[in-house]
Amino acid sequence: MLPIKQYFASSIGKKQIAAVTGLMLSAFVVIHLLENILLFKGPEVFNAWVDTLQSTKPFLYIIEIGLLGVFVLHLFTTFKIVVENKRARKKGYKEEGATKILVKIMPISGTALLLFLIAHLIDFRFTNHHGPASIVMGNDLGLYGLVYNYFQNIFRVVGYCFGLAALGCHLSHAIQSVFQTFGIYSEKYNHVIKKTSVGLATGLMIGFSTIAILIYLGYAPTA
Amino acid sequence: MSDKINLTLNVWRQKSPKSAGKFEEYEVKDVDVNSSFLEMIDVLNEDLTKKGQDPIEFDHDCREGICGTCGAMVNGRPHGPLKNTTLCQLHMREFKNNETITLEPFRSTSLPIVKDLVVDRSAFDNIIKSGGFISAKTGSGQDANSILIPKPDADDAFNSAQCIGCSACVAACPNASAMLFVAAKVNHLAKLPQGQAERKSRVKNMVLAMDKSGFGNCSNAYECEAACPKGISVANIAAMNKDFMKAGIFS
Repeated sequence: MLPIKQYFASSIGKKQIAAVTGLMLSAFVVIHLLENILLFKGPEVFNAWVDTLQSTKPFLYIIEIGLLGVFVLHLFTTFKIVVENKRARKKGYKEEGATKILVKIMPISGTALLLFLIAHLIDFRFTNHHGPASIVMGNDLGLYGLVYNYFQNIFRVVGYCFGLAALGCHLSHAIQSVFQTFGIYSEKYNHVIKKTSVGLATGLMIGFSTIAILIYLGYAPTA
Repeated sequence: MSDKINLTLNVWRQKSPKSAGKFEEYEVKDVDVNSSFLEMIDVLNEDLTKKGQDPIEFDHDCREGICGTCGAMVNGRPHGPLKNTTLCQLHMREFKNNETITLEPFRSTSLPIVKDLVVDRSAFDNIIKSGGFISAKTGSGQDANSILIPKPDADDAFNSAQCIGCSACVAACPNASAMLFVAAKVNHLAKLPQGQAERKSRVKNMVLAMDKSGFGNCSNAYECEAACPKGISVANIAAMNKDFMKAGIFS
């Protein structure tokens, strides 16, 4: 056994932290998508679910702080990994090898995701859920109204889709990496792992984006 | 079909570990297509020496593809374009007439450049020193069947043992990680009964030695596997990840 601090400071330990925290965040994103699908059940059903979540306070705050902690740990660890990787080759090659683009841009897609997340939290989490932005046809529809109004603007829809594209790029490499990091490798099932990873990432990307586009196109009920 | 080709070489020249280094262009005429890549440089070096210029320094030893001494980036690929082939086993028939070839040393902070295409691979030796061996006295050779090893395990161990420590994996990795090398060395012994006694301490010490040398972290790009002249699989890395976890947390 290694002292816990030394274990998690090792290259493999760091990767395992990044993998576990990343997996937790992915699980949250999946739940988030399922919640978003409720938007098509109309304002009442959606807002009722929001109220149910709100009623679990202070438990809700504990979950949120936990998520934030996991996120910060993921960010901190991956940042450290990237810095060490840059340090390991200070001068690059004149002719670069053909590293898979999704792997190469992991730090970029990750940073894009971070910026998207900050904007997303400002837009939906740290904002008043009842106010002028929530009013649809004279009715205050709460968080539902906020989401509905937000996606009436084409630029916001496009910006949102870009954020989700970053998520898709990030997760299509990330999910399969988790398996390798924990030593799950088999010639027989590798293609399944790879396809699941890309499929899940693409599914999440298309799922969230489609919901935003459908709201823009007027497919979400207003009452 | 001509048996001779003309080439332009764009070679990284660096006088000493500390000096800046730059690319220099050389025209190489009438290269025999059946000569090996290193023989082609030999011929060029003879020319350079006759002209009173400094020959291009490069590492080599066996020239049979089994020692792991040679190696350079040929057009951005370690050991050149041919799969499962070391630089010394690459032949000039793989190149076209009038082609420009870029030759660079393997680049990583942990394997510093000594001169031109020569890198110092002491970091690899330090990793091996930290645990890549069996310290028990084994005595004289035993009866062949006294230690039974299942065929698949023997094959796996042999596949890992094929690693010649050429550092092409580090060179190919976008993060200059040495995971494939270390994993091959760890697994070669982990698969065999003789390696069990020190299995846990070995994986711990070798991974920590690798980190200490300043190699990058693996991000599963698998460029190492593509570049490895011995076709070592990234399955070794997965197995080492698991072994390190078992040794580091669960023991």
